[in-house]
Amino acid sequence: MLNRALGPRLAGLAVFAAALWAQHDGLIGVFFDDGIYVSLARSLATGEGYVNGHLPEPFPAVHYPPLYPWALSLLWRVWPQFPDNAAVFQLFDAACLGLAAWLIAAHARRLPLIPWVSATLVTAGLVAFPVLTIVGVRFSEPLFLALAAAAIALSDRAHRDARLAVAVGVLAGLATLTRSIGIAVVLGVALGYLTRRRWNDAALSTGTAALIVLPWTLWVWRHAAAVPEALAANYGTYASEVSQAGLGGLVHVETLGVLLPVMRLLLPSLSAGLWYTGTMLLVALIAWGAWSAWRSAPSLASGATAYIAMVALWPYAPDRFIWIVLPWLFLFLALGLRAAWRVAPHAAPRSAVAALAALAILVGGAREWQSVTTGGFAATARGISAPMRALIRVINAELPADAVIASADEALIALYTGRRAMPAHMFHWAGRSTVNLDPAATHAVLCHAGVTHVAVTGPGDPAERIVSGFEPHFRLRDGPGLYRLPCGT
Amino acid sequence: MRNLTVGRAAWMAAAVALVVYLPSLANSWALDDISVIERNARVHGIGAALEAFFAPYWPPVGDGSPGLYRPLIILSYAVDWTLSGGAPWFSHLMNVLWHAAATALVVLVAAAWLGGPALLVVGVVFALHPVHVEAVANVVGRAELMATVLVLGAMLAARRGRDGVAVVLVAAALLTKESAIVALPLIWLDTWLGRRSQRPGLSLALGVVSLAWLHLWHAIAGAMVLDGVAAPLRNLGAGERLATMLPIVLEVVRLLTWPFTLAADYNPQMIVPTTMLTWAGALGVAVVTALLGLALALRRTAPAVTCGIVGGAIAWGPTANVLAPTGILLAERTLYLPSIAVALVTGVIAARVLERFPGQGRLALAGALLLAGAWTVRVETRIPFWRDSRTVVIEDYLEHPENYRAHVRVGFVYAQTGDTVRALREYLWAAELYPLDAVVTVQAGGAAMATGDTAIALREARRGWTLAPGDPVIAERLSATLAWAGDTSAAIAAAAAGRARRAGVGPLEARYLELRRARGVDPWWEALLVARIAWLAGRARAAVEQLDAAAAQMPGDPTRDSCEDLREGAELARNLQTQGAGRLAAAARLACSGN
Repeated sequence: MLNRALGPRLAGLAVFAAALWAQHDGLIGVFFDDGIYVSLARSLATGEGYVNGHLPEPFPAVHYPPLYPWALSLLWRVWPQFPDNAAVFQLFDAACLGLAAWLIAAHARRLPLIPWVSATLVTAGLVAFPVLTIVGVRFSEPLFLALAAAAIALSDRAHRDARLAVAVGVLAGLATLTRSIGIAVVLGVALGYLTRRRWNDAALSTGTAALIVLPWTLWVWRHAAAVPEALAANYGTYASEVSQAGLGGLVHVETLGVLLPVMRLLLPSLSAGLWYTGTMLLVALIAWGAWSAWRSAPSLASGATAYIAMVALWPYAPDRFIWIVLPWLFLFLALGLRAAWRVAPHAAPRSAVAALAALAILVGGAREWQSVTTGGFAATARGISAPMRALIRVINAELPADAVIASADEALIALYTGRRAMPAHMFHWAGRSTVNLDPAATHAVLCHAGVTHVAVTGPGDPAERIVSGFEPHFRLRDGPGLYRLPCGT
Repeated sequence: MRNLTVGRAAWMAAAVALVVYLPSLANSWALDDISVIERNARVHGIGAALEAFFAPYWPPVGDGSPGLYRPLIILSYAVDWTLSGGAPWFSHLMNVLWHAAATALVVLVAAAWLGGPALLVVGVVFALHPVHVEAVANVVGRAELMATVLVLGAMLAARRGRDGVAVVLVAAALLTKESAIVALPLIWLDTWLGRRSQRPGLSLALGVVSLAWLHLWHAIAGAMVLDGVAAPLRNLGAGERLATMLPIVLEVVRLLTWPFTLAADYNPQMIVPTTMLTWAGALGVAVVTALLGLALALRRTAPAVTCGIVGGAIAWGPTANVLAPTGILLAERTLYLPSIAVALVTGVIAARVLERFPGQGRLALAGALLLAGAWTVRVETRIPFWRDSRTVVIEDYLEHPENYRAHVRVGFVYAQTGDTVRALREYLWAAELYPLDAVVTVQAGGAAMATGDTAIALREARRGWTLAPGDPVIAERLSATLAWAGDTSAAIAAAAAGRARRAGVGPLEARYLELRRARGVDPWWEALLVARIAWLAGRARAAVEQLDAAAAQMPGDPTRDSCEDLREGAELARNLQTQGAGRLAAAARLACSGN
C-alpha cells in the first residue's frame, strides 16, 4: 500500500485540508490586493472587461496579471452572490495549494532525501502559519505556486521531448500571467535546461512562455497611458513604477535580507550576534542544499534561486513573496544539513549540525503551534475586518447609492457597499521608498474624481492626513470614521 | 430459479419494489413536503433551483434556515415540478422509481458473495422492508433514496476500477444528503471484504471531494450547521450523547428485524433519554459488541454478513449522534441504507438453508413468502399513513400518545385553527411528557396568553428562561408574557437580562424599547435606547443625534434604574465622540454610584 506515490498525495491532501481549515470570516480586501483581485473578477464576470471597476472612472487593470482574476471570474459566473461566493474562491485557493503540495512533493522524490522526509518537509512548508495567512485571503500565490511547481517539475524530467518543453513554457507563461514575478520561473527553467546543454528545450520553453505572455504585454503597453497620473503608483504598470523609482531603487542593501523572514520563523530570539550567526549558518546551508539539488533537479535549484533573486530585487518587503517557496527552502535546508553531516570530519561538527536542525524544528514548531492554536495566522485579517464592518454598515445604511468613497481599502469598500471607491492614499516612488501626495493635492484629485466621503479605518490610516479639519459623518474613538469631503462648486 | 442471473434478480427485485409502492401514488404532500416542495418557489422551476444551487436546503424562515445543504435533491424536485406541474403523484412515482433502483443496486452489491435465489431474497427483503415506508411514501424521503443509489453506485464503480465514476457519484451523493459522507468507509469495507488491494488514489480523491463538500456545507449553512439539535441532545458532551444513544441501539435493531410497529418520529417518552449508563444501555453495548464480533468472525466465511452488519453500522453512523448531534434521536428514514444489513444477512441465511436442505426448497419458499407477505401487508397498511399532513398528525397522535412531539404537532394544528384551549392542553401535555424542551414553553406560553391564562403563561415563560437562559427568543417571549400579564417592571428586567446575555439582537432591543415606552420613559432615556438601536442598524448620524438629544435633556439626578442604559449610552457616546459624551458619562457614574 505504501508506495512512492502515496507520500506526495498525502501531502497534497493534508495541505488542502489545512488550507480549508485556515479560511476565516475576515473580509475580502483587508490586504488590499485580495480585494483588487476579486473586484477584477467581478468586472470580468459582469462583462465590464478587465478594468478596475471599483473606481469612479474605471480604466484597464494594467498592474495585475489577469489569470487569477479570470479564474475567479469563472467561479463568480457560477455563483454571483457576493460575499457568499467567497466560499468557492476559498475552495479554489485551497485546491491550488494542495495541488502545489502534491507536485512539489512528487518532484522532491528526485532529491537525495528519504521520500517521507521530503513529503513531510513540503507539508510543513505549506502549512506554516505565514502560508496559512496567505491562503486565508484571496491572493494569487496558491495558483502561481501550482503552475510554477508544475513547470519546474516537468522541466526536470530527463528525457528530451519538444512537447514537454512546450508544456513547460505554457506553464511558466501562465505562472507569469498569474504573478509578474513568474518571469523568474521562465528564466529558472531555461537555466535548468541550459545547464544540461538542452539548448532546444531552453529555446522552446522560453519562446512558448514569451508567446503566452506577449498578448498580455502588448495589452498592457497599449493601455498603460489610460492610468491617471495620480494613480500611476497604485494602479500603473511595473514599468511606470520603475520609471518613478529609477533602476537604483531596485538594488539596495535590504536586498540581502530577502531570507530574513524565514530566519525569524526558525530561529529563537537571541542577541544580535548569535542571531545573525545562526542566520548566516542557515542561509549557507540552504545555499549548499540548493547546490546539492542542482545535480538531480537543476530546474528546481535554478527556478527557486531565480525566484528568490527576483524577490530580493522587488521593491516591496519580501515577506509576502518569500513564504510560498518555503517548501523548497525547507528541502534545500534538509539537503544542506545532510551534506554538512556527510562531510563533517568527526562528531563535534555533526552534533552542531544536528543541534541546529533540532533548534529550527523546535522554534518553528513552537511558533506554528502557538499561531494555529490561537488563530494568530488570521488575527491581522480579522483585526482589519472589525472596523471595516462598522464602516460598511454605516455606508450601506446612510449613504446614497451614488456616493463615492475614498479609502485605503477601496476595493473592499466597493465590494461590500456597492459604491464606487477611490484610493485615499496616493503616492509615487522615489528610489526604494514612496512619497505621499500632499493632502491638498490628494483633496483636489479626490474632488475631481467625484469622491463624496472619505473613510478612515482608524488611527494610522493614511487617509487621516486628508480628513484633518473635516466634519465627521461619524467617527469612533480610536476606530473607524467617515467624513464628508468638502469640494468647491 | 437456480439459473437466476444477477441481472434478472436485480430486475425482479426492482419490479417488486415498484409494484409494492404503487399505492403511494395516491398520497399527497405531507409534513416537510409542504415547506420544502409545495410552498417552496425554489423547486417550482429548474431555473429557480439552479439559481438556488448554493442556498441552504430549507426555505428561509426568519433570520435563517437550519443548516442543511442538499442542492441536488432540490433540483430533482424542480425537475418533478416542471414535468408534472406540481402533481404530487408524479413526485411519488419518482420516489418509487428511486426505491426500485436502490433495490436493484443492493442486489448488484450482494452479487459479489451470493448468487441465484439468495440474491433475489436480498432484493425482495430490501424492497419490502417496512422501515422504508417513510423514505419512499413521503416525498422528502427521496434524499435517502437518491443518496443510497449514488453511494451504492459508487461502491460498484469502485469495485470495477472506475474510480472517476465513483468520485463523481460520491460528489453527487454528498450534494444530495449529508449522510453520504459514509461512502468512503463503505468503499474501504467493500474493498477489504473483496480482498482487493485498497487504492490510495481513489481514497485521496474521495477525501478531497469530502473535504470540499464539508467546506461548502459549512460556508453555506454557516453557524446554523448545529442548529435544530434534538432537544434531548442539546448541550450534551460526546460521552453523554453516547449514553443517550446506547439504549436506542436496541430500538434500531428492533426496527430492522421486527418492523411492525412504526412511528413518524421517535421522541420522549417513546424513548426515555438518559445520560447515565442504564441496563438498556448496557444491553445496547452487548448487542453492538455481539454484532460486530459476529461480523468479524464471519468475514471470511460469510463476507456478505460482515458487509451488511458493518456497512449498516457505518451507514447509521452520521445520525447516531455520537460524533455530532443531529436534529433527531431516531427516524425510520435514516435506516434506509442501514437496512442493507437485514437484506444481506437474510440472503446469506437463505443461501445456507438452500445448501443444507436442498430437498426442502418448497418449505424455504413458504417461509420466505410468509415473511414477504407479512411485510407487504405492513407496507401497504403503512403507506396511507403518509397520505397528507393531517393524516400523519392524527394517526401518529393516536398510535403514540407517549410521543411529546405528537402533542406539539396537534397543538400547533389547533393553534392554527384558532382553538387555543385545545392547543394549550396539547402543549401542556407535551411539556408533561418531556419538560426539557424550551421551544414547547414558548408555544405553551403563547397558547396560554391566547386563552387568557396568566398563571400558566407566566409559569411556562419562566420555565423556558430556566431551560434556555441565553436564548434571545425565549427572553423576548418571557418579556412579552410578563408585559401582557401587567408586570411591566419584570418584563423590562427580563428583556434587560436577555440583552445582557446576548447583546445586539434586534427583536429584543425593540421589545425593551417598547416596554420602556409603555412605562412612560423620559425622553432622554428613550433617546438613549433609540440611539443604540440606530447604531446597531448602522445609522450612525441618527445615533449621534439621539445621544446628543439625550445629553441635552439629561436631568441632574438620573434614577438608579437607568444605570445600565446610561452606562451603555455613555460608552456609545464616548465611542462616537459625541458632544455630550462627557455629560452622559458623568450621569452614568451618578446613576450607578449606589450599584
